[in-house]
Amino acid sequence: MGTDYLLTGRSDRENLEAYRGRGGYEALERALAEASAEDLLRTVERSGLRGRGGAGFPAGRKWRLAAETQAPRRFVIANGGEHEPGSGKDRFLVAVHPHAVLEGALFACIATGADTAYVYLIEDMRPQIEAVEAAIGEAREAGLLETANRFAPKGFRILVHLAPPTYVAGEETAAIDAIEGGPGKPRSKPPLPGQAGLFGMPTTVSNVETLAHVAALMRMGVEAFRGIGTEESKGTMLFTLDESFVRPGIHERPFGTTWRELFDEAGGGLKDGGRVRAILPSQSSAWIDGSQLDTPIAYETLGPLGSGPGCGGVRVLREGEDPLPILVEIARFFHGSQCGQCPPCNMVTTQIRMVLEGLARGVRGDFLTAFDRLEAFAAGKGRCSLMRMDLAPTAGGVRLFRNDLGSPPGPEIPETPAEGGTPGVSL
Amino acid sequence: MSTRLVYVCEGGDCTEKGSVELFERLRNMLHEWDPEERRIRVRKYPCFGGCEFGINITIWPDRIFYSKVGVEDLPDIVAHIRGGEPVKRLTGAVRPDVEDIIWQMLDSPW
Repeated sequence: MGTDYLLTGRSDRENLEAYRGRGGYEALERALAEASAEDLLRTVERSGLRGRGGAGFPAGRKWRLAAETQAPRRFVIANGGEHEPGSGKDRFLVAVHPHAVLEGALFACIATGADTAYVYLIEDMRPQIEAVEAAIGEAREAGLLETANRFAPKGFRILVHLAPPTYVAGEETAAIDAIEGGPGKPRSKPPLPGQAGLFGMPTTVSNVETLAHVAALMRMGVEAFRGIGTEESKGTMLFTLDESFVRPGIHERPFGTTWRELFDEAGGGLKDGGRVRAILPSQSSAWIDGSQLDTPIAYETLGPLGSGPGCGGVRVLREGEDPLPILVEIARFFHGSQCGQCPPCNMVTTQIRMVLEGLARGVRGDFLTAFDRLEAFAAGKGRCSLMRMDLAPTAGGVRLFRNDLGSPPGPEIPETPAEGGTPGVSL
Repeated sequence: MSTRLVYVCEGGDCTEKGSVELFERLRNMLHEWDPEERRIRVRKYPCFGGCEFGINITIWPDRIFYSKVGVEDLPDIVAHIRGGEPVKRLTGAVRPDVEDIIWQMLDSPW
């Protein structure tokens, strides 16, 4: 606590008056009056802000690409197409703090030279759709939208676009495809959206949480923002804790918070008093051993462990819990979510599922080598990264939990140094 | 000689191209020769990852990967299975790494 700036503790929609009451839109109005697009780009670059959709790409670099690509028009997409199992933070943010997302999207418009932003949501997100539409109405009435300014002769427009309820529709090129009227499936890159995105124009696709961070960054100033978090991971991050915690839901914590602090202080510990054996930072991340509970959550600390913060939809495996049902569930999810465009993805997600279901049926075999080969095969293939998003938790999982999954050849992974196996920590 | 296996891909693309009907026809043709499935069994496979070259069929443990198979090719494939030469015109379409990973999976117990 103390450094929170995205969440305010409320759970109903924050209207314009309440948002203005905590300084909302002040920085935007200042920027409209006196800033340049380059000022804003430099601020986002200097902030060190990374995208919060899961990949952690530096926001400033993404924005500059669109800003510097010559074109008659540019677009911004505020991506709220959250479909990651276990993650609810984008839904929460959009439903409760829609103005923060809109303000961030307007900063993206100014910085990149766009005049139109799409808020991209999933068609079953009723409360979020209503919250954003209400906020757009309030912003329009307040003269923040569709009113001429120094950057847009007709003012900025913000439109809501509803995506099909599929996992891949949240991928950035799939969002572009959906807004253009397509089925919402990923497209080949290059070109990157910043080079040729929506209707062939440079397009900045930023996660809705990323945009809310931009609004806060502009409000507090870049030095204050850089003071929150760690050396390479700036600001706070939203985490989703599931029902196994005493306090499930959305929690905001600065980067650098340890897993133990997140679980104990924010989540109140596990309801059943269990011990954490392994952590899955998000469904498309690699597992982290429970011995890392005191590791700070940051790109530079989790990267060397082969994982990352992902989108913060955290799941834990307790001591004594069988990992295989979770791995099978993940494999089934990705197999069912692949869009069918790329044959290697179809095959790899099928094979992952077959191996794990085989293990669950008691079939024994060299599953480690099977996953090694699938990883090597998947490298660099596919329009999007779904194959690798599937492999991160499954291949990583079979390695971490190999001693639970039958009798593969090869040396056993030594237990982390503690009597009786992997040390869990009482939460 | 142990039982050989013919797998017919039933992935989305292959199904669209008629793999369900092809599977039935091939099985019926092979049953005429081997009604008790002692020498060859025909099975469906979820996806071989060679979608653009479907319909795909593999023969295990021979490591024969047939692509772009139509019902008109079935007599030649049956002739191969009954001891003839592999049907060269149907091989070599998919990338070698796709073939390799399929053999790895078919060689494994999964």
